[in-house]
Amino acid sequence: MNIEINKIHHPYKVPEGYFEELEENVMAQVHIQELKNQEVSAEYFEDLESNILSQIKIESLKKAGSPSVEKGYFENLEAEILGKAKIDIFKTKGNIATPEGYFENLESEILGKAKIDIFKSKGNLSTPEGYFENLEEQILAKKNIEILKGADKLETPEGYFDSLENDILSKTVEQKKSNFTVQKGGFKYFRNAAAILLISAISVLFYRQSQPKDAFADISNEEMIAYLADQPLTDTQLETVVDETITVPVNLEVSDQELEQFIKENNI
Amino acid sequence: MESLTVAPRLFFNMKDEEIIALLADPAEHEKAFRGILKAYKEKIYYHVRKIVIDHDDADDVTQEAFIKIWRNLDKFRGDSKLYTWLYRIATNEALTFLQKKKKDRGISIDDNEMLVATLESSKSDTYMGGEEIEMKLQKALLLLTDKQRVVFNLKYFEELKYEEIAEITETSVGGLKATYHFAVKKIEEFLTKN
Repeated sequence: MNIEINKIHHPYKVPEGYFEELEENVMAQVHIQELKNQEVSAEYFEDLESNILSQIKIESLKKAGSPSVEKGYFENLEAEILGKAKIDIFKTKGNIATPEGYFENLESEILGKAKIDIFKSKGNLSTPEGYFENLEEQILAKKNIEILKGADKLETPEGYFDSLENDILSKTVEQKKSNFTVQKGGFKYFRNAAAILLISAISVLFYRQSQPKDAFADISNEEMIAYLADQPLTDTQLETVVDETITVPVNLEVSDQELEQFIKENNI
Repeated sequence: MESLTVAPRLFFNMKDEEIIALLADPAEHEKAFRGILKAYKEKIYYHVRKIVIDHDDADDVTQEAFIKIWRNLDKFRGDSKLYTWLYRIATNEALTFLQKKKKDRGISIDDNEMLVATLESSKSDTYMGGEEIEMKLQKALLLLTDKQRVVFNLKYFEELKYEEIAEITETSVGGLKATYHFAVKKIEEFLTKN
């Protein structure tokens, strides 16, 4: 077989439109090569170092994965930031002026807020059983005690209590003596008068031991007797008021015989 | 080298003389290159394809060859014909590609079994003609060394003169003649037997 006489072509073919694309591809490649060969600007090397360091940091962060924070970090974050902001404001402002009387009330305000916080944190507060039932009575009792204690400081004129007994008796018992008639079964009024008299005697004794002061000088005997008779003091309160050395009979009942004997002895 | 400007696309093939004239002015290099690309893209591609056989390989090598042509435009002195200069660059690029491919696969430089397998597998695809004799000729060519194939292709298919082939392959005309005659004889024997 003579191939030079019987010319044979090659079998190679290309996709349709290939050579048009080839021209474009080659030109694109040439442009890329040109861009690669272009000289870099002077600013390029100035920024190169910082760019590389930034890239390294970014890569390090990527390798480190997602950053984690301590448990509860974000819950306290807002308060911490606000606190720091306040400190910064404080620093920048320098000398800070406070309203007049601010520091005088500061302690009580803080303590008040602390109590409120404790109250809030405790939630429902509990009281001993029956606390509120006795509360009013206890408050009133304390109030009366304070009044009576304050009365200790009252002053009476000198020798006031020496004559007080006679004054009281002359205005009460001696007046009664003139038209006193013993009637069987009529001891009811007599007994009340004796009780008042006894209370008065106890009061005299009490005031004598508590150094009488002149403050009672303006108070008449009648007013004092009336005051003591009207006071809604309980037995317990009276025990508290009266000196511990004095025993106040709880039951002021006086028998008829005792009263008759008392009248005879005193020539009433 | 001057950076590229947007040169108008060429609608007609420029003659080699026109292109060479443009190459004398560096500012006209892109226009000259576009002229080369338009006039020689198919010839260069098929020349490469006959060496590397596979279309995708030929595509890569052809693009690389043209980029090399662009980079070396200022080295063209005009003391040789333009097409021989272009063919030399493309031939070297194709042969270098094949050498590297064979080396990567641990195949001897003169062993073309890899290319035979490529040719056989390409029979059914759209990038290959259906003529049996054409395929047989290509198969016979793979019995030759790569350099022998280049000489045969340039003489037989491109119908270049021995002097032009000598410029392209940078060998003597006498040696080319002997190479070509040896190649023809070997191919004819193969085709007669098969």
